[in-house]
Amino acid sequence: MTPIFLLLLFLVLLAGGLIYTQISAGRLRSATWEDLLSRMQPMHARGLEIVALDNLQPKANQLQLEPEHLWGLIGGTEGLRRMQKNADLLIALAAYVQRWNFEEGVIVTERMRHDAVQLKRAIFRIRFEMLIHRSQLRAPFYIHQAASSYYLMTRRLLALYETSHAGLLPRLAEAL
Amino acid sequence: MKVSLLDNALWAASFIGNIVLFLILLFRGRWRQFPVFTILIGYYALEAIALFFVYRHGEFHLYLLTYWFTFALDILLQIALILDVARIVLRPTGTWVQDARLGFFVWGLIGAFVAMGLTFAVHPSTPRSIDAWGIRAYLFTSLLFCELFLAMMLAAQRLGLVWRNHVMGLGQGLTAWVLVSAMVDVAHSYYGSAQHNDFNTLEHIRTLAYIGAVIYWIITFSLPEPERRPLSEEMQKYLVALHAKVQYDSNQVSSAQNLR
Repeated sequence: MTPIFLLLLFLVLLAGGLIYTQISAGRLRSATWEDLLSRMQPMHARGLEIVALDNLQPKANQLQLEPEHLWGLIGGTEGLRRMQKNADLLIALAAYVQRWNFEEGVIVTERMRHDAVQLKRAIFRIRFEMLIHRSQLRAPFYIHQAASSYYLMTRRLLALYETSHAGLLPRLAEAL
Repeated sequence: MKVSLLDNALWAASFIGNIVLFLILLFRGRWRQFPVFTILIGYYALEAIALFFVYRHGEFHLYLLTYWFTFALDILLQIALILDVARIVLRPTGTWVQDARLGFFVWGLIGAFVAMGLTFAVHPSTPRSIDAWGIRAYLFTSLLFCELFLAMMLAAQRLGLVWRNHVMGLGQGLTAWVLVSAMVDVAHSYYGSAQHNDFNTLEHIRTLAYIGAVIYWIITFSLPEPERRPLSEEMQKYLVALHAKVQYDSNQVSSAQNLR
């Protein structure tokens, strides 16, 4: 009885995964620019910028920001969740530009995919370390990495819209 | 073995569907984008003709031999089809998107081992042991196809890759067909083949799902798809260099992390 039960469980997981990915791919394909923008979840932009620049443009007193401070600036667990959700939408917004500025759109989207992979890895590591209650020694490193990747994605996207479709730029900048 | 009217009707519908789909793929030029899928559909049409003649005019032993030979060829073509879909989806600009290939192969391999373990663990009740191995072989290929396809879709989703019309239609048809097929094989592995009528009913469900998928593909591939501008050769080279640079940077960052 147990092998059949495990087999059914495996099949249910496969079926759930396949149906979920199909629906998700369909939603991404049919989304309009306004849809994508309206699904962006607000972030604490200034706090995120402080953390990212602390990592990307190091100045004197590099250890000034304490881990708890970094965690608060990115918005804590909720901030991580929002960054992860928004990352896919940022890529979709970059891919949208391929309609007007194909070559630059392709290149910037690829760069942003790389940033998103780094961001998701950093988020996974933070969550994993929180889950197993390991020492928080590496946490600031991953928080810096997540904030930097997300910040780079938003900067790349804004720069792409600045050269490709300046008309949409104010609304995009407001949503970010 | 007695062949019922329903068996013949489903066989004929599936055969006609394959021929129509094959002609559409050929004459609408879709074979250029989906060469393996075109070969697979053409192969199904030929396989049906070959098995029909061997069944009607050959010996049962020859029929069995042909059946298992075509089964092996079928598995190889189905795996090639997934790799072909992965090539289209995970290499939208002609080069593999960073991390896509690794994620796809690692998850594909893990799932293949799980499918193999589960296949060996089940013991279908059959009059002969060869029938039990037959059910296991079908079960394994169905699970393998489902999980490889899922690994590919998850890789695409994680990287935010957008599917185009035709490949999306192919993926939706495949999802429906392979899921029904896997459910039928799980049911076979539980009920076995002792009850001939139940076994046949399940096979009819599988064939009906396939006919449904073929009709969906005929409609999808008959409709045009918006043109996409090809990338210049210069831009392709730039992208290859960008991927190599990104991979190098990523390795450097990982090494630095490990040293801390």
